[in-house]
Amino acid sequence: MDVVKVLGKTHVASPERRREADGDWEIVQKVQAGEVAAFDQLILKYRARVHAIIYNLTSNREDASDLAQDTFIKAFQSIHRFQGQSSFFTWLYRIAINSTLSHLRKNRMRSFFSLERISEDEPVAREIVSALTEKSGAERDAYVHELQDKLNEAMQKLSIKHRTVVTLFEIDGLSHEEIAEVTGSSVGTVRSRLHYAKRLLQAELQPYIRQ
Amino acid sequence: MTEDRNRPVTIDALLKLKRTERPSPEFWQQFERELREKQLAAIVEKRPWWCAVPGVYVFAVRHRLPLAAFSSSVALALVGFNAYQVFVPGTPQAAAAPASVAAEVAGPVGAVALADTVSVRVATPALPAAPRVTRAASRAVVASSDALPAIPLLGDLPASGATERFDSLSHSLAGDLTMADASGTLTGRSLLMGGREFGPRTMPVRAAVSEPLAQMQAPSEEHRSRLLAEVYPAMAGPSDMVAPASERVLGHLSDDRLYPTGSRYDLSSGTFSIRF
Repeated sequence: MDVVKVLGKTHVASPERRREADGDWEIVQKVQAGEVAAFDQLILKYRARVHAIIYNLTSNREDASDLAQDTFIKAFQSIHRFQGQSSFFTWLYRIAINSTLSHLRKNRMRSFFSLERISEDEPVAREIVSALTEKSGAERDAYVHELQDKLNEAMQKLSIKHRTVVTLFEIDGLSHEEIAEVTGSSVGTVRSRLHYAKRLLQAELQPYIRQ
Repeated sequence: MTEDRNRPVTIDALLKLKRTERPSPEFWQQFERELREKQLAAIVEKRPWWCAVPGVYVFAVRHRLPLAAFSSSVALALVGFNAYQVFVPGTPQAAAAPASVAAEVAGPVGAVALADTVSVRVATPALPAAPRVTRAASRAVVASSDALPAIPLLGDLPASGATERFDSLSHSLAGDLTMADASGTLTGRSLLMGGREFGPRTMPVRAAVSEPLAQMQAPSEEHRSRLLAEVYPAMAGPSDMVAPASERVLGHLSDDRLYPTGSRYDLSSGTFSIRF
């Protein structure tokens, strides 16, 4: 069980997270002192995770790219206001999620998929696809493509709040406490939303689920 | 392969599949390039003033500024900003003020002044509210006792269908004044007969100006009125003497008598006569 340490309003889930937050805070202080190039370290460290969150919220790779860039620009512009009361990644995630939610609300009527390819080079993906089908070659690719479409459709059927919780928990691997801090809600709300969202997803993806 | 087929697939496993949707390494090169461009643009681009509002709030919170003091200072700043916008010279509001003042003076006041001078009967329509003559406007009228300075201001009247004829009259009067100015003489006759169409005129219905600031006269207008007041009274003297006499003469003649006397040809009593 993770040691939940309460630091003001901040929940630090583990010593690794704590060390990570301390390292980020040092970099942030350098940027605040005028060493602008130090911000590149933060970009390199978090760009993949920020992009993944936004991509899974929007299911659109171009929007995800633009919004991830905007997130780093906003963070760079506002970094002088960051006082270290929360960890940098929490603050950055909050910017990313708020930007994405604002974008999704603005473009509610205009949403279409533009998906990244599922990489079967990764063992996890290969195992799951093999468990679902015995097909090979082009048929297997078509099956994976169809499965990916269904997954993203099911995700987009969730409300924005539920989608955010599922993305942060299942895809980015944040703890309930961290999600609560990022989304500004209670841990109980996060658990409840996660439970409800999984039930909906299970209903949508029933043909692919085998107990 | 058969072992894999027998494995259970849960919703968590399917969501793990989504973790593997990742962009290619080439994507990150483009991402970094675009981000660099945006970062430079953000540094160069001037941020709008309202972006500083959260900063002000943070400052207030950090320095424990009392809420009342903070709100009052923000309100004061807003009011001051609005007042600055209204009163700053050279702004469109300030530039529009003299025109509206001129139009106001050229309205009822100018019309009354003309009636005193050249006996033009002006039927002023009932205004929705009594016209307010401001201090500046009344000063302009007092300065020009015979109201001649008001004549150039007639050009400021709005050109509508109802006022076109009145405009032509004012232009002809202005022409007479110019001629008189050039020759050094100004007679009531030239003023009276120079105009082609004297008669009852209807002033355009003007909306009451409720903006007090719009009724203020610009310093340049004041200066012009003062200068005109010094010049025109001397030139307008004869018109004061002649014009009322002409009106008396014309008032005694009926239309029947006026037109035959004005004609050189007479066909009455079966004879044709020509007057020289």
